Amino acid sequence: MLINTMEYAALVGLVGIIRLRMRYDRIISWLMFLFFAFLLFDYVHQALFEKNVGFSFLWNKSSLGDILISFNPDISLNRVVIPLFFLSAVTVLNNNIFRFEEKRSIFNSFIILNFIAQSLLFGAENCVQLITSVFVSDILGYLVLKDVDSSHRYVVYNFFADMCLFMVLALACGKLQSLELAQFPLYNEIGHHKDFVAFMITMALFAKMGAALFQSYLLDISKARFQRMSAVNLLFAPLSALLLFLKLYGLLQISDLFMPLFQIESLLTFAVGITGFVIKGHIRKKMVYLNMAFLGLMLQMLQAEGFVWTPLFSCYFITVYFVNLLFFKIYLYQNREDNVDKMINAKEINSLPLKAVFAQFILLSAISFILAWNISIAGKHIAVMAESCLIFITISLILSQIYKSPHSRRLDYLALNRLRLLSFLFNTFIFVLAANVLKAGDIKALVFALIFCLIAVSPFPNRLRLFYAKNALQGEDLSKSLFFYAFVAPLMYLSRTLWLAVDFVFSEKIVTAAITAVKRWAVSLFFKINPKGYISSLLFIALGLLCFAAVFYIRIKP
Amino acid sequence: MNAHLLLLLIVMPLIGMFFVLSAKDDRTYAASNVYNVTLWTMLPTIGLILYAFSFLDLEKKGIQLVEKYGWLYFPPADILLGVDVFALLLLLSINLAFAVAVACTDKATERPKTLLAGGLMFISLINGYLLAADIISFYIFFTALSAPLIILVSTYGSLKKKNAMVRFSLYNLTGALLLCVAVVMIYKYKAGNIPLNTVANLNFKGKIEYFVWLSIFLAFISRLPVWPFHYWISSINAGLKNPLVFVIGNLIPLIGLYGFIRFWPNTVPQTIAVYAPFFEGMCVITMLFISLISLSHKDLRYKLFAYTSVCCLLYLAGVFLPTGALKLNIGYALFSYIIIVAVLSFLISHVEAQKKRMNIYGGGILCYMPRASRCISLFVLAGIGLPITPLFWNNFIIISEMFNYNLALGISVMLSVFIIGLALLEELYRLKDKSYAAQSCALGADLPNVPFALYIGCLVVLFFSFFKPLWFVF
Repeated sequence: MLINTMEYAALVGLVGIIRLRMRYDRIISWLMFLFFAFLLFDYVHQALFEKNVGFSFLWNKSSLGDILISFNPDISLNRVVIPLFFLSAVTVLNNNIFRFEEKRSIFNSFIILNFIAQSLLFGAENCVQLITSVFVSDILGYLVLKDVDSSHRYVVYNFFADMCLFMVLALACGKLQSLELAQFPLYNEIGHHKDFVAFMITMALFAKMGAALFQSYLLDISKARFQRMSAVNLLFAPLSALLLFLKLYGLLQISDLFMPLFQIESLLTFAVGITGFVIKGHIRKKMVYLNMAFLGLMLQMLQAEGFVWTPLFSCYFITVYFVNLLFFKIYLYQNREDNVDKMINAKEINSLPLKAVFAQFILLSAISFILAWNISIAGKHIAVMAESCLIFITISLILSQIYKSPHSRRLDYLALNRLRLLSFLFNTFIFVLAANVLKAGDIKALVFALIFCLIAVSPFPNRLRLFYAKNALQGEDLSKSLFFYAFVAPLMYLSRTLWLAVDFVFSEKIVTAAITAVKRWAVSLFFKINPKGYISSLLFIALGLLCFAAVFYIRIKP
Repeated sequence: MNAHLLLLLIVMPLIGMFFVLSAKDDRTYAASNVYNVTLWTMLPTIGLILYAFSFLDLEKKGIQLVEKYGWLYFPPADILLGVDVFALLLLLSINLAFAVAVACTDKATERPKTLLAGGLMFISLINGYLLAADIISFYIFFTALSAPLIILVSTYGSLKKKNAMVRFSLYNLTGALLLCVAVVMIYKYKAGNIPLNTVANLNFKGKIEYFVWLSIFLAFISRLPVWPFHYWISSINAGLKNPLVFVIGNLIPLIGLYGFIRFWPNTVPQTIAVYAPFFEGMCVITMLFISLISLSHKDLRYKLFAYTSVCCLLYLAGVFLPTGALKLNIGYALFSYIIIVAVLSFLISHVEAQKKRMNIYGGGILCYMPRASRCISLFVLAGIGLPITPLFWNNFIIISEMFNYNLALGISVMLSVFIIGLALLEELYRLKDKSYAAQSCALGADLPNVPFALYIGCLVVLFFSFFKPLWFVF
């Protein structure tokens, strides 16, 4: 039963959150991995024989229809779920092997729970399940980051994106009078605010993804630890955005505005990403930019494949994940040195593991080439192919800078334990298997892998180290200033002006002061006309009579 | 007991109040006694509310469990009590919030008898207000609610804001007077007391109709922070240092909102209903205005006030929509909202008190108190959109309906919700900012065990309600 898979996965995820003593952490985290891996195996096994049975619960009722929690796996859903299942399992495995968290089980929990959230997101059949899954995934991302500095902008940007999505989905559901996602194509027939809907969704998803102009939240994430940064970059908000592009395509395509906007932004994201990857000296910032470039490329791949998540796309996504993992290993074997400029020549430090990582990079370059080739041929989108090659060539430039670094100061060797060997063997097995299945032994792929190697061993890339010395290029990204001047500053000015002009001057100094003055005047008038004396008493009686007369006059008036 | 169940809900807190008032004026024992009495009054009251749910037909609309009590022979007036799922949900959340607030209140508070007797009186009267099913009892409870509010605010409010307190009393009494005029006119027209749901059948003519409805409208507006009269609630709330009174202060807008919900949209005649877009516009302007101002305000209490205002006005805008289908969604959302606001009020008071104690005037205070930090983060996120409370999906349904009727209204509401969420998030990050925090650790600054457990308990209740709003009904 599939419900069991999800239930058990949720249980495994929740087990890690329980605060047990540190000495149990290791055993719990390994048990979590083993059980999760078993669930993955079981799921894939059932999927291969098409035995997966979905589930659907009635959650609540509303005026717009029943709210269901449903997950009905078919081939298209499994194309997303199985890679995510696999990547989540690999992340948990690597977290256990490379002990980079104080409490590994908590990190594992968030990864597993996020997998469930993303699966429910892609399997959603109604808007409430969809938006709930998005919010849950974002909150889990926030919990993974843990750090106040790095999560601040992540929270603000994602809150903005989620609110935009919330608004547009509420608008669509309100107009369609239905919560069903399947009804979205009918929105075109209603014809209301089509451009607004498409524009808001596109902007929200680009903000969520950290695309060009919105990348500053991803750059802040680079302050967090490497593995957290990588996980959030690939498995949390940006992945949600990718999935949402597919889920909401029915609503996006109704506007002519969408496609040009999408193309421009994806290209810009790629360009900014690749430039930042070359220029920035900080390895984690480099990775953020590299992931941006990959995201830009993957958006174009989605477009080439008609906004369908194909097996080729899954493979490319997994490749991107492993590129991150290999860079993490380099960072680790360079004794967690942040600046590429200060990294040590590969001959001088942890030489064997670094060489093994390089060999894996060569395999990955061949795999990526063949994947990009197939996608570009299938989608008749040659730019995809070119951009993928460009990314890997750039990676080889950076690898060259690291491996052939002029610095030769010896640092401590990391003790090579068996578990790390396990990681190496596992990765190599996956790469060889993928190369075999995807026919990466093809002459084209081999030539590309050779070019990759040649660039990496050539002396030219070290000249690009000049960028690292230029402070202007290493400073804050322009998108931060853009965010501040375009968004924060106007709101704050408006807020202060309103407070001063309306709250303080109008409400306090005019309205309230007027009421107080009238009250004082009335009280003082009362005291003035009511001093102790006969005349004042007579005056009061006269006023009473006047009132009587006025009432009488009004009553008899026809 | 079933026959007088609703009456018991009003009387029990009153009995508790008399017990509290009869306690000796002894500083050492009285405080402990009155807290225990209050808590032991609230627990059976909550039990009774849960018991009352078992008599309700959850699918049925309209007032159920009607109780009638003779009151006056001349002029003839009977008191009619009744309840529906919506009102009972509000009752439960208010009583629950108050019980949690009492359990978390520091026993060293000044004048505990006044505080808790006033609180119990408020609970008794608000229970009556929510249970009232005829115009006269509705009016009586509406007016009487001013009494505990004025007592508590004048006792625990800031002495520096004497003018604000005078305004507070003035607005309250003016609102009561206006409702009095409307009720007297209705009573005179029908020559007797009538149930609330039959007000729609009154066929007033011409100016009188406008006069009656304008009076009712202004009476409820007097309890709501609608621009340009929002200033009095904010100025009063900012001066309330006692957390329990602060919780009660934050419930004031609910009185106005409930009044509108009872009278709108099914009761109000078509001649008045045409003005609904105007009222909606007023709500939206206020929401935008208050949320924008809260963005630059440094005072955490003001931000909470802004949040309560935006939420109340969001539901009010939902009430003005020409559909009656949203009432239960508003009820579910308000259930979470009341608990969230009550807990946040307490947490903010705790943080403010610790700030004062530790002389910290910037941010970073939450670095010293991990439990409080966790609780504030969770409740702020729950308030603005964390999908663990019914607030989340019910807001989605309400805003969907708004979009169905008016795009501009929907966008403005969403913008306000976004801005107030942003303001709360920014404040949360300022409070958590490590760069403000000193290295030394402050002992005793964090939440004690009981409040912490209770807040987490509240979160669990909300979490269950997220999946099944009426999970406690068997």
